[in-house]
Amino acid sequence: MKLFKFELKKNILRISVLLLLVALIIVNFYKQYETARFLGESGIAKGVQYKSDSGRPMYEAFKGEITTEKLEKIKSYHDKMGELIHSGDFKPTNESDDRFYSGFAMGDFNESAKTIERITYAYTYPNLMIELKERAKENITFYEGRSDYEVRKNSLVAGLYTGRRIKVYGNYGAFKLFFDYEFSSLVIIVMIIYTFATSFTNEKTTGTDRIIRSCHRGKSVYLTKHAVMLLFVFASVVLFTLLDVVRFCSFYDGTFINQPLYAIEEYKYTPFNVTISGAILLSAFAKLIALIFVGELVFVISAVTKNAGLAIALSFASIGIVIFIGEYLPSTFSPLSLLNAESWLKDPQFINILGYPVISILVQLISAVALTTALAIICYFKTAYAKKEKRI
Amino acid sequence: MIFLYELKKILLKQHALPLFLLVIAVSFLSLLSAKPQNYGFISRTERNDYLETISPFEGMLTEEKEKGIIALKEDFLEVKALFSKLNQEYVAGEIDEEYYQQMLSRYSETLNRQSVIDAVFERYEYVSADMENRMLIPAKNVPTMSDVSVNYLFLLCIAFCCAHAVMTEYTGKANYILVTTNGGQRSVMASKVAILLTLTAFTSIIISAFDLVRLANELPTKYWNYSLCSIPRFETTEFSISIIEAFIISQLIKLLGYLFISVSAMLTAYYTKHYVASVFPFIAVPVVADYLAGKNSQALFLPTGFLKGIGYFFGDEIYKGAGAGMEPVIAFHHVPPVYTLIMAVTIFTFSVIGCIILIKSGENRLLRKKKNHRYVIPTISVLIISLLSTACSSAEERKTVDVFLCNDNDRYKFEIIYSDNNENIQVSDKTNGESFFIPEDVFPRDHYSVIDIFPTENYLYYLIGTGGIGNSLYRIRLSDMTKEELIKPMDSIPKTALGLSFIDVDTENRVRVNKLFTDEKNIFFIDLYGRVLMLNPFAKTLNDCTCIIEEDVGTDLKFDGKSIYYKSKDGITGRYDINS
Repeated sequence: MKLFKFELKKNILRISVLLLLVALIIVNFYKQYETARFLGESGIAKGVQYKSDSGRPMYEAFKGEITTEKLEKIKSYHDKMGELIHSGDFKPTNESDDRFYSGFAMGDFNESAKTIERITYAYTYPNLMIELKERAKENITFYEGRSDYEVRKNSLVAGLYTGRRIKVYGNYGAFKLFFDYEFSSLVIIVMIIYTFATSFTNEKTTGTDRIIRSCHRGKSVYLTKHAVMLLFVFASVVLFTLLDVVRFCSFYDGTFINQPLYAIEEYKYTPFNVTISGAILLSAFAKLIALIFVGELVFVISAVTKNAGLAIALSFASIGIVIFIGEYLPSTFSPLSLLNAESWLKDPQFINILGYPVISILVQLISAVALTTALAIICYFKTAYAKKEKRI
Repeated sequence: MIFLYELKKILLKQHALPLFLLVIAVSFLSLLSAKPQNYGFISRTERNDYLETISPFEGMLTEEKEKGIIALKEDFLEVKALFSKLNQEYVAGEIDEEYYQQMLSRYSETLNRQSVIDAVFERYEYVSADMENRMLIPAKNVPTMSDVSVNYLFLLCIAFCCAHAVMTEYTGKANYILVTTNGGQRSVMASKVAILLTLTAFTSIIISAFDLVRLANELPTKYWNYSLCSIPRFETTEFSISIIEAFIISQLIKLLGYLFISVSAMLTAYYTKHYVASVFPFIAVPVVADYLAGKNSQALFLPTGFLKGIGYFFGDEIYKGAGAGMEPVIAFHHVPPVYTLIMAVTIFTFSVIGCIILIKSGENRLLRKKKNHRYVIPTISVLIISLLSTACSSAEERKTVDVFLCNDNDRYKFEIIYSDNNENIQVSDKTNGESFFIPEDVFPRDHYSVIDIFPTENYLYYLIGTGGIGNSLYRIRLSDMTKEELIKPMDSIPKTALGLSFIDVDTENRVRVNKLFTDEKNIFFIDLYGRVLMLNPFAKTLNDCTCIIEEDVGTDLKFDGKSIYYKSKDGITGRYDINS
C-alpha cells in the first residue's frame, strides 16, 4: 500500500497532471459544443448555434409513453395544419402565432410530420423485427445442408431480435452524438502519455531500476505501476464518459436514457438487447480496454528507452502507427477501433470461428486483451524479471 | 573545431542523422505513392478528351472563349433535346428502326461526351462568377494546395533532437566544465543552435521540394502563374497572388513554424532541464489542436498552426442551410492576413531572441557581469498571450451595420425544397421556417432548370433556363395557385417573313440573367455581367429590357420596393430610385 501511495503521488498526484487535466477538460467542453453545432440534429437543440429549438414545445407535448390517443391526436393535428396551409387564406408570415407549437403553421406542419414518423417507427418496430426474423428463417431453410455456419448465424439473428418493443417516444440526439464522439479518448491518450511515458525511463536514467531489482522489489514495483495506471485509466474513462453524457444531454434530452438502444432509429439493428445506459456502460468498458492497451504500449516504450524525450516521442509515434495500421487491418485486430462505439454498436457483425458465428466485438475485445497481455509480459521481462546468477 | 565536434555528436551519437533521414525517406515514399491528377475522369480517353476540349479556353476568360463554352453546352443540350424527341417518336412508332439507329449513331458521339462538357461548363461557371480575378484551369482539385496536415514525424524528430542536444550537457554535467573554459559553453551552444536550425531548415526544404514535385504532378507548371483563386478551394481567398507564390509562401510559413518549434524546444530544455516539458507540449499541442479544430481554422490561430502552411490562404467556407429555417453555416473562418503577418513577425522575433538567449546563456558566468534577465520570459509570455487573445477575437464573425444587413425586406432568404422524389415542392423562408406548397403541375420538377425564384405578397415569380431555347418567366398566383407565363422561351415565338413563319435562335444577342426581383409592377433582372436590367412593358422576350444600372453589382443587392441598393465592385454603395 505504501508503494502504491508513493507511485500514485509520483505519477498522478502532481500539479502538472492536474493542470493538464483541467486544460483538457476545458478543451473537451469546447469540442463537445462544436460537435453538437456541426453534427447535432436540429429541432429541440438548446443553446446550440445553427440548431433550432422550434420543435421543443411539440416534443414536450408528445414525448413519453406511446398511446393510440397521442398518435391520433398528432395525426389529426398534422391534417389540420395541412388543410390550413393548402387553403387559399393561408399567407406566409414572419410573425409568430401562439396558437401553434412552433409559432408558425408550416413549422408545426413539418414538425408534426417528423413526430408522426418517429412515433410510427417506435410503434411499428415489432413488425420490422418480425419481418427480419422471417427472413432469417427463410435463410435457415435455404442454407440447411449447405452451410452450417449460415444456419447458425441466422438462428442467432432470429434469437437476437425476439421480444423487442419500444414503448416510449423520445429524442435521442444526445446519445447519437455520444456514441460517435472520440475526442475525449484522444484527451485520455494524451494524459496517459504525459503521465506514464517516463515512468520506467526515469528509473533507468538514475539507475534506480537496478537497485529495485537487486532488492527483489522489481515485481512489486511493476505491479504497483500497473495498478496505478489501471486506476488512472479507469478514473479518466469514468470522468470523461460522465462529462460527455451530461454535456450532450444538456443540448438535447437525456430523460430516456433507460430506453432500449434500438429505440434510436439508427441503431434499430443493434445486436445488443440493452438499454441506452447499458450501451453507455458497454462503450465505456470497450474504451477502458482500448486505453489500457495504450497505457501498456506506453509502459513498454518507457521500459525499453533510457531517454525521457525519446520515450514521449516514441509513445506518440507508436500510437500514430497503431492508428495507421488499423486503417489497413480488419477492425477485429485493431484495439483502437474499440474507441468508437458507433462502429460496433450499430449493426451486427459476425466472425466465423470454426463454423460458429461470434459477434465481432467479442473477438475485438479478446484480441485487445491478448495484445495488452503480450505487452504486459514484455514490460515485465524488461523491468521486473531478474535473471538468477549461476553459481560457479 | 567545436562546430565539427558538435556536428558529429548531434548527427551520429545523438542519432539526429538517421532520424532526419527517416523523415526524408517517409516523405519521399509518400511522394511515390501520391495519386496523379485525373481531373475527375477515371478513363484516360475521357481525360484526354477533356484536356483537349478545355485547352482553348484556359487562362483569362474572354468574351470569345465564353461564347465558345456556351455554344459547346448549347450544342450539347440541343442534341440532347433532339435525342429525347427521337426517342419519343420511336416509342410512338412514328419512325422506323433503321432511321432510329442511324440518328442514334449520329447523336451518340455528342451524348457520350456529357461528362466532359459538364466538367468544362462547371469550370466555366466557376470562373465566370469572378471573371476579373479567376482564370480557367482544367483541375478542380489540387490536393497539394489544400493539404493542411502536419508532418508529425518531422515534428517528433525536431522536438526530440533539439531537446536532447541541449539536455545532454546537463545530464552529463558537462556544462559545469564547459562554463569555466574560455570559449566555454557559448561556442558549444552557438554550434548546437546553428547545426539544429540548419538541419531543420534543410529537411524542411527537401520536404518542400517533394511537395513541389507533387504539385507539378497535379497541376502542370504552365498554370503556376495563374491567380490563386482559380483553384476552387481558394474561391474566397483574400490574397491576389499566383499559385506558385502561394505555394512558396506557404512553404516558408511551414519553415518558420519548424524553426519556431526547434528554438522553443531548445529554450524549454535549457530553462526547465526537463525532457517531458521540452518535448511533450510541442507534440501534444499540435495534435490536440488539429483534432479539436477538425476542418475549421482554430488551429491556425496558434503559433503551431504555422506547421499547416497553406491554411492561411483559405477564405471563409460557407455551407448554405439545407432545410427550412437553417442559417448558412460558416464551416471555416479565414485567418486575417494582418494576423498572419503579425504572427509571422512575432514568431520570427521570438526565434531570433530565443537563439540569442541560448547562445548568451553559455557565457562564462565567472567573467560575466550580472545582468537582470528576469523580465525577458514574462515579456515574451505576455507577447504570446496577447497574440493568442487577438486570435480569439478575430475568429469571431465580424458584424457591420449597413443597409444590406438591416433590410427587413430581404427576399433572398427564400429557397425551394424538393422532397419525396420531387413530388412535394415547397418554398420556404429560411429566416423563420415558414413555407408554402406549390402544386407540382405549376412548377418545374427539374430543379436544375430553375434559375431564380422571387416570392411577393401575391405571387411567386420564377425564372426558367431551358438550355438551347432560352429563358422564360412565370408567376404563380398564391391565392389559387394558377400559373401565368410572362415571358415565353425565345424559340417558341414565331417570326414571320414573306408570309412564312420560322423560329429564330438568336443565341449571340441573348440576354443572360441569373437573378430576378420585382415589386409586382416592374420586373428586374441581374445579368451575367452583374448589370441590372428592367423588363420593358409589353415585353415578349427577355431581350426587351432596359439596362438601368450599368456597373457590375454582383448579387449583393437589396430592393425595398422603391429603391435598389447595391454595392459596386469598388465597394461603393449606390442607390437607384425606380420612380425617378
